[in-house]
Amino acid sequence: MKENDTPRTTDTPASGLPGAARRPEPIVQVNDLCKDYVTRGFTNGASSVFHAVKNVSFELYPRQTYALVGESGSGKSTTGRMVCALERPTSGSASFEGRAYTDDSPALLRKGIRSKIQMVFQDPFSALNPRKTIGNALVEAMEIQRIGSSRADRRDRAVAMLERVGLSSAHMDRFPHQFSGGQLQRVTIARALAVEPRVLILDESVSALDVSVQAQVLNLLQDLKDDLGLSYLFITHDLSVVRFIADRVGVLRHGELVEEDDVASIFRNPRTDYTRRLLDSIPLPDPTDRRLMDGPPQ
Amino acid sequence: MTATPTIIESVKPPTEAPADTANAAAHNADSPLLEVEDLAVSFATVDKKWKTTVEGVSFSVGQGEILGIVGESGCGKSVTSFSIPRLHDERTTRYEGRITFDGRDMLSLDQASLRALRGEDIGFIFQNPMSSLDPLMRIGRQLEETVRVHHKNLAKGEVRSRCIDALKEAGADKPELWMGKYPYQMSGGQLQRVVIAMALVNKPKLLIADEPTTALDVTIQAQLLRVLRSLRDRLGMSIILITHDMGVVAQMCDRVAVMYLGQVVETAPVRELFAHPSHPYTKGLLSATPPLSGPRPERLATIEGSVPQLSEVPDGCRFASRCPFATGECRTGKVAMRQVGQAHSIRCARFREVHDLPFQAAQKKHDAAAAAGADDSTGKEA
Repeated sequence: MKENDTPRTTDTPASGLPGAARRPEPIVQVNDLCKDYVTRGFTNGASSVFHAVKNVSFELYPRQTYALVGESGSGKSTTGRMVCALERPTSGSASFEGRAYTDDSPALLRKGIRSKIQMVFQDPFSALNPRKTIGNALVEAMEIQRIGSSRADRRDRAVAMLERVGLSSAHMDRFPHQFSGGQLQRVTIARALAVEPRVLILDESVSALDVSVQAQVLNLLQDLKDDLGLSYLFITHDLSVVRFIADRVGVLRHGELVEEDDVASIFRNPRTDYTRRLLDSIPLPDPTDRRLMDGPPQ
Repeated sequence: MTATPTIIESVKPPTEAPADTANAAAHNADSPLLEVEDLAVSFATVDKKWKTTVEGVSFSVGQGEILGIVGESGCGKSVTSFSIPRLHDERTTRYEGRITFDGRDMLSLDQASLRALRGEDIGFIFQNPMSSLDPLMRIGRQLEETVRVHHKNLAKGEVRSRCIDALKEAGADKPELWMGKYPYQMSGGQLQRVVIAMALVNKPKLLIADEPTTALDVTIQAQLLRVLRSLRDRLGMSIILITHDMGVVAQMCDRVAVMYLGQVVETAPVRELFAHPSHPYTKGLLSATPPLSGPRPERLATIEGSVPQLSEVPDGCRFASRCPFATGECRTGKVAMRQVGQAHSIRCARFREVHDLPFQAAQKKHDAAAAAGADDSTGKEA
């Protein structure tokens, strides 16, 4: 958490390009996004409103990784799902390259945003159809988006994509149950990338993986971002992963964005008590510094 | 359960009151509370064969000591910990080796004596609190049941007050209120506190905690880890903490056993382990974790491949297929634990050369060698 936390990418909007005029346009802009859920009692039908996300705004810049962090129930996933247009906001909007898409019809979304913004979920086993081969899962995504000229062409593209994520053509005709968790997460990444998106939303995509496999997938994500010019919205509760992969960080609490900053600043000097508390709760892998044990057990 | 009360009395040494626990701890301080020697656990397969999953596992836990067992999924952490109070289905499980708990040979105890130990001298915290609680029973009744099973003649009020004390100990803010609640009315963190309370309500000598905080937010995790620490610090409880998180190990444990594919591959005092990780797997695990301080790396070190299935355990060293240091000698024969420092042992055929080589350097060299088609020159640099 010291000085050399400088962002890796040179085109960081905050520090990088000379002059404000050269500052790139955000690829995704999120404006005052709100999501309310109405809950009804089981017996009396009385309803109450739960504000899952409250006025969340942020920008995701090209080739950047924006991390949304927070505890469970803080609204990170709901925000991600709205940005991916899987969930309609109660109010507010998200726009892709300047055009708001969150109120588009399903048909319009399919033509427009679905091939631009893709999502990778936490559990690859439930994200893939158990009765479809990996090859068919990738080909189907391309068919829907009318990518590739023929079935053979799509299969070729699918193989290329599998190879890109570290698998091979031998995996094309296998079923999800024949893979380990780490391999399968590579498959879902390949499927998301098969439609040539510009933005990936990664919702706890590495959280369920073992440390050694998690490291492989994180490295892969870094490579893909650089090679394909992707932008990531990275949703996670794991702050050590955030420190590795993110350029900018937004901290959510009870549906509100309580703090937003460059990754180095968030770790070096968090401005809110909440962020500080989150950071202080990480068990440091250093037995000579046991500050975690100092607090009260309540 | 009918005959248990008399058996409890005959089996249990006279350490009823909590005050005595401290005395007992002081009394046999030099002999470990739990000693596992060369444990092997086999399960019956459908075609009536025995499949050995965990093998050659040895470790000990002293009075008031916290032992961490770390490793990735499928390495046998849970199989090992379930074996201590013999929780596996006895019809399909075979144990070999030796487990000595508090002077008793666990593997030769009869079922009644085991039942008397479980929940009384050995407390267990399972990973998922939701599935270790009865959804149709109030928290209070479940806790009280745990006390009553072992102390049949205790007065009602005394049972209740023990439960409330245990909930307080586990960090419950309103224990009386919690007693009347159902599991679905509580959050994950609260339920985990209930499960901890249930494990410690009879003041066990040994607490086995199997991934107790894995499903929880970091802030809640920090609180619960402090609760566990205070149990040791104030009550002198011994704890086996099973986790995959090196951070949790560093913060909590006195000694560590690293497991890989059913074997302990490294044991060391915690400071020694983090200062001089010696087994290639331990080195790999530590360098694959994204660092929280120091410069941010461009890439993370990775351990190639993934943990093999237990059905395809390789010959020789079980880690050889993923190890950047591995040579031909690693792929045959059994590898024994060898001492590399004070109370520090590793299971590695190349223990002399490997223990002070950094993982990343070996890996680069390994990658280069693989690219060049060479095979045998890995990890020779200083």
